[in-house]
Order: sequence, then structure tokens, then C-alpha cells
Amino acid sequence: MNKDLLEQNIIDYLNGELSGDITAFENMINSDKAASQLLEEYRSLYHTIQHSSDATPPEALDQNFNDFLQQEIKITTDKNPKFGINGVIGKTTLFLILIGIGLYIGTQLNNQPEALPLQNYAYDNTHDPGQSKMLQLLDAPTISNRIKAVNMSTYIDNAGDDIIQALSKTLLTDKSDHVRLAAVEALGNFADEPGVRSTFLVAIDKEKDETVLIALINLLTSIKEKEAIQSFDKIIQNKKSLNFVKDEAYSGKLKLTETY
Amino acid sequence: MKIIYTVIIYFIGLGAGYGQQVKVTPTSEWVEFIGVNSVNIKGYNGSEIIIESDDEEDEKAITVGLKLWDQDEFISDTKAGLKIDQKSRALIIKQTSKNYSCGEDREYTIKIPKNMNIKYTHSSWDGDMLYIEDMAGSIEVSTNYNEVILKNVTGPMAIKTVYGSIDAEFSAVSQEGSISLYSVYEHVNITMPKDTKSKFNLKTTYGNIYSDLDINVDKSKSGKTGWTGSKLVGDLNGGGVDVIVNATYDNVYLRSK
Amino acid sequence: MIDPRQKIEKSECEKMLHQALNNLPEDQREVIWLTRFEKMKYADVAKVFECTESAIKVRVHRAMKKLKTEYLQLERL
Repeated sequence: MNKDLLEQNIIDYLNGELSGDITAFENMINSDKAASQLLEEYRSLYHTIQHSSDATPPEALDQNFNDFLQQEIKITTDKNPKFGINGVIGKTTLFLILIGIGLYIGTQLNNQPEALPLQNYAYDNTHDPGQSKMLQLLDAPTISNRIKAVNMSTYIDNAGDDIIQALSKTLLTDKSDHVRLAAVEALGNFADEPGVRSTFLVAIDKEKDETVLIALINLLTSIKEKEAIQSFDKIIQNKKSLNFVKDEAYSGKLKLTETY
Repeated sequence: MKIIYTVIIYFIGLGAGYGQQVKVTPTSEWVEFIGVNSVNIKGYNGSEIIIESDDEEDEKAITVGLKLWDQDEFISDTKAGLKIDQKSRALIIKQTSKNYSCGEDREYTIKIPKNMNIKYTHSSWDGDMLYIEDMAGSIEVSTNYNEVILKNVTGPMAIKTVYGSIDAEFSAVSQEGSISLYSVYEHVNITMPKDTKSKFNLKTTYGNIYSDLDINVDKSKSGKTGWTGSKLVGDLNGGGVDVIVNATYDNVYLRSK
Repeated sequence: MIDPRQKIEKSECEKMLHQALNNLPEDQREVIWLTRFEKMKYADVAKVFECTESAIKVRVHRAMKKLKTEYLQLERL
């Protein structure tokens, strides 16, 4: 097999796209030292790519989500869509971009469990300076400053999507349980905003800290989120859950299943 | 900047009363306690961390040459029932051997340079009291069962407990960062100088909020929450450091010094 | 806990990777992004770019070979 073709097959193999007999291909590689070495070079490159913690997508893909969303909405309703075929392409692209941005943010977070497809917010200094300061402070190295940042949302009137998304991201991804606890309380003030309830449901399934779990259970119960019953059941049935967390989950479940 | 890590061990057999004393020169700004059941921490002006245990450890002779099995590993070189490791991020102090035979576990009294930062975590049922006095650094506490008492501290701090109460008496309140106190089932009781500049965000779901401070309450953000809850947002002396308090099932007390 | 030396190594590898990626033309970076980071199938990438799956395959092959060459060159520096 010539080298070019071998490389192409190796790339397809590592992408899970190799057609033909994969076992035969693997046997061939194993029996050929040069081919094995080439495979390892590509494998090592792929490994680095997959474990890269701060990759950024190319500019063409790195568009402001809302702008792109508006563009796609226009395209799907336009009789002569920009992509030139029909609404299916626009919808597929939109779906893929949604997944793409969600996973892009996921790769930003050092291999932590997947977050919701959150808007990749970027604060703008021309916005309310209070909001800008809060968003900046959410990246502070100290826990007490990040808690301060979360608490700033209490004082921001007409908090926009930026703030809510930032609090959601903090709840799902901050490394400190103290900060995540503060985020539960702060985000609770926006429980009626779109997406916030979903954030709580994702958070309760991935959270490990007992105090944060209790706060989430109490919050979901107080906002009467019946979808949380499944999550409460998981906690109750999990042998590793501490008893007092199970008790709270059980109590929350009873309250949610009562007829108001 | 690395400082050479030194451990000086003093074995003091004083009969009844004091057990052992251990001195450590820390090389980082943080000291982290893991699973130490009962500890009294006192800040002071020195540079060493001085650990005293009340346990005489009569069994010392019988354990010579043996390693302690601690949950998932054998440990040698424990000092006063503690495993002490100097890491780049913190001096880690972990309680290894426990002594419940007399119904009480050992207590530790620890002197720490007052500007050091403290992190304390404890999750098991045998968490007892955590007492911290005369500290001016950051304090982070995450515990399920410990009662937390803070005296003559400044913050910043983040403290959360499940079954323990939090009693915090501030000498002066640092304007850096924030002060966050959270107890699920017990009260939070705070005492601070009445001229402190601060912003309060106080909440309880099933308890009440009490105060004798002259708080300028933001009525648009304060009042009843849900059927039983209570919330108070306001500032003291024009506002300042964020003081965020939550006692879910019990009361919040905010008093002047 | 990650060995600090491993951390530095990992960070160096990532820097070289990003540099190598930046040296690629835009269209090649895009297909690498979509197939490696987003784990998309060739058929789906073809839909995004409105071309055939074979064309995407060729683009992916060229992109990966170039990336490998760039990366190995940086490693040797």
C-alpha cells in the first residue's frame, strides 16, 4: 500500500470512518513496523487534540450565537434561502451549531461533565458596568470574590441573559461547592426565566456536595418543579447518598406529588 | 518561593494533661484540615504552626515499627495522630488515628500564624467542634456535623455546615471578598461592630431573622419568601463587604458589638 | 493529582497543537474542528458544507496530514 493511501486509511480509521475490513487493516498495521509507527504518530496527535482544554473554533464557526440564530431563522423562512436548497439544511446546520457551541464550551471546561448548551457570553464594557464587573469577577481566583460576584446579581435590576447564563455556568461548573451553593440561591431569583429550571435539573443530577444538593432539592420543591421527582428518586435510591440528603429528597418528592 | 520544609517533633510526656506537641514551619499561605474531628485554632504572631494534642498516646511503644492502616492506605510517620504533608498549595493536616475508647476523641489545639488562610473540611458523623480565634486570613469551612465557633476573626470567609450551628464574632470586618455563612439545620449567629460597612443578604426558609443593627433595608428585595421564609437585603453604614447568610431551618441572628 | 512535569508537558503539547492548527488554511481548520472536536461524521460535515462525503474525506485527509507535518516540525524546534 502506498504511503498516501495508508495515511488516508489511518485517518479514516481513527475517525471511525474506515470502510472495508477493519480487522484486516489492523492486522496489516500490526505486521508492518513503519505502518504501526505512522498510526501511533496520528494517534498521539488525535490524543492531544481530544484532551486539549482551551481550543477555540475557527473564526467562521465562532459566531455570536444569537446573530447566527437570527440568521438561521431568516433563512428557514426565506423563499430563497442563502444556502440555496431548502429549510432542512438550515435546520440541520442550526442543530449542528447548537451541538457545536455546547460541546465547544464543554471542551473549555477541562473535561468536566457536559454543561447545557449555554450561550458563549462575552461581556461588553458598554453594558451596565455593574454587570460587566460581575461577569469579570466570576473568574476571580478566590472563592470569596466569586461568591461576591454571584451575590452582585441580587443588586442588578433587569438582569439580562448574560447574567443568567453566567450564573448557570457557575452553578454547573465552578470548582468550589461554596460558590455553587451561592449560585443556587442567586439563580433561584430567576427561576421563571427560560432555561433556568432546566439548569437546576441538570445541576441536581451532577452535584456531589451535600449542602448544595439540599439547596437544590429545596429550591426545586419551592418552585414546584415536578420534573425534579425523577432526580429526587435517584438520590433516594442511590446507596451512596447520605441519609439527610435522602430525607430531604423524600420530603421534596412528597411535597411535589401532593395536589395543591 | 520555596522555603525548606522542616518538621520538628517534640514528644513531651507530661503525664496527665498534655500529650504531644508538633511544630511545623509552613511554606504556603494555606493550612488545610481534613477530617480533624475536634480542633481549637488560635492565631498568633509567630511563624510556626504548633500542634498540641491532649492524647498521651500510651500505645506509642507498642506501635513502633508498624504502619497505621488509614481507610485505604498504610501510613507511616504520623505525628500526634495526624498525617502532615507540605504541598505547594497548602500544609495538609489529616487526622488518621481515632480514639473513641474513652467515649471521646482527641482534641487538638493549634496555633497558626494569624495571617494564614484556613481550609477545613469534615463530612463524617464524628465531627465535633471547630473553634477558630484571632485569625485575620481567609477561612473556608465545609462540614456536615461540626459546630463552628469563630471569635475575633475578620474574614473573608465561606462557611457551610449541615447540622452544625455557626457563631461568628468579628473584631473588625475585612472589606475584601465576601463573608458567606450557611447552615442547613442550625442557627447562624453573627456579632459585628456596629460601625462596620457592609451589605447584607440574609435568608431563612423556616426560621426568623433578628437584629439590633441599624440596617438600611431595601424593601423591594426584602420580606416574606414562600409560605414561611424570610429575606432581608440592606446595608449598614452606607454599604461595604457582602455578608451573605442563610439558615434554612433555623434563625439568623445579627447583633452589634 | 497531576505531576507538575506532566502538566507542563501537556501544556507544551497543547501550545504546539494550537500553533499547528493556526498554520492551516481556514477550510482545513474547520473540518478538523468538526470531525475531531465535535466528533461529527463525514456525512454530517458534508451536509454542513453542502458537498459530497468524498470531498470532505479528501479535505480531512489533507488537513490531518498538514497538521501532523506542522506539529512534528514544531516538536523538533
